[in-house]
Amino acid sequence: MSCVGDAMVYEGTSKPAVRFLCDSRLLALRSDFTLTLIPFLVDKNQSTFLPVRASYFGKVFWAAKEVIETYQAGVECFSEDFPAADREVLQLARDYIQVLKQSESVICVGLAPIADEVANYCKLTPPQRASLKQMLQRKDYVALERLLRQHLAPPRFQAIWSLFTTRDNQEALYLLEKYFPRLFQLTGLSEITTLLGDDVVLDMGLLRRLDYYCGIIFEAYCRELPYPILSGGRYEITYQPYRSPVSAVGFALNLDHLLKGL
Amino acid sequence: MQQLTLAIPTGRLREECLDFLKLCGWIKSSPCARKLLWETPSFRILEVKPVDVPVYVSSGIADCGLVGKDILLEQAPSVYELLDCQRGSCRLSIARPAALMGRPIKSIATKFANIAQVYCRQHGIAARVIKLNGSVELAPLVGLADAILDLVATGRTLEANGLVEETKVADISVRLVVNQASFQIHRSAFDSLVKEAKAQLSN
Repeated sequence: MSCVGDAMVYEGTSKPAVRFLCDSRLLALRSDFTLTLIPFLVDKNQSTFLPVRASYFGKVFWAAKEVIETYQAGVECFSEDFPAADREVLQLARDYIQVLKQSESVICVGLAPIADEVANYCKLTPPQRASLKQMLQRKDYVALERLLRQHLAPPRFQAIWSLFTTRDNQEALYLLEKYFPRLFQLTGLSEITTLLGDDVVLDMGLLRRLDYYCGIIFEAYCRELPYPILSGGRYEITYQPYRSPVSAVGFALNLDHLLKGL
Repeated sequence: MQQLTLAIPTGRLREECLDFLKLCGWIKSSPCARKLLWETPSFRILEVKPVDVPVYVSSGIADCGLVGKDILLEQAPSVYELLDCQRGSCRLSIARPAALMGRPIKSIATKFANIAQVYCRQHGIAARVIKLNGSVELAPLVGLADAILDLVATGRTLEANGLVEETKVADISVRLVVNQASFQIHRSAFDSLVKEAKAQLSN
């Protein structure tokens, strides 16, 4: 760990990414830096110095269809002024994309709680709610349209469908404020509207797979890569030594993916 | 509109997919089936095996593709599913010899091993899944399995082999799938294409 200005640089080497547990037959691999960053900050008493800006770099491992070992880099901002921190991190993501000078790129911004809000609005059962989230994550618009039509009268269906599918920032803001005003207020979305444009767009159909996100979420895409170039959002994680959940905003990028695209 | 790369399936679904593309006005004509790569002003078309369509789309070689829902369910690829093209409609069903109907299923022969395993898990069926690559209807006749999971269109093949459709697992049809990044970069183009297609399909 080292410090550069007021930002901490966590290089991921102070704690091993690979650990042998029990009788050495079980191997635990780090899949994510965010979850290890919070205990690190608590250990160093950094939490009392809010706001804290941290960055990291190191190996992560995933076991999906195959085991993937890759380098991840990212930033996290722990701050009590959450709309300002959201704006700062989103601007940083935008700057980063501009530095890469990709031919065409876009940052899509969504809200993690939108799925639960729509599920409540449609009075969905828990299994239907789970299906709705899965449909949004996979952008299975065929199944999503069927589910919403089953639970909403035509005018309401049209509004929610437009909210999920529109690429018009003004229309998305209007629909969100009209149908989900509490969510609009709580997530501080109005604070980031100055960043919206052709390269930063609202996508209320965006839903990330990690379940610790609680506010804005975003993914950036460029023409050269078939998957997101970076992704992140605001999250809230309960860490036992803390009485209240830890809230922060950040993003990560997969460096191996990035090198393939450059 | 910037030219998009579209992967379409060869074989049984090829003609139906080409009809769909013509109906929507996305293409006007098509070359002979042997040409695997051809172009129109709006599209660069790749003709690939049906099971390979998700590979071309998820890797970004193709921006989008037309593929059966059965393949999407089996492979669960990282692609977005934008439209039901209402072509190649059939169903994925469990079928059994009439004499075994109602008895617990102990083994299922199928080309769709992943779908069968998920179905068995969700329905508490403790059956062994046997992966086959074709002629699935033969399996119960020769004692390899006591049920099959396969695509059923008219039901004539099942009938010819003394099998009865027991449970429908899913409705199947051709879907328009899109690469994650292409969807975001060419969003307005895909919105227009889907809008045009929906208008034509509802006529």
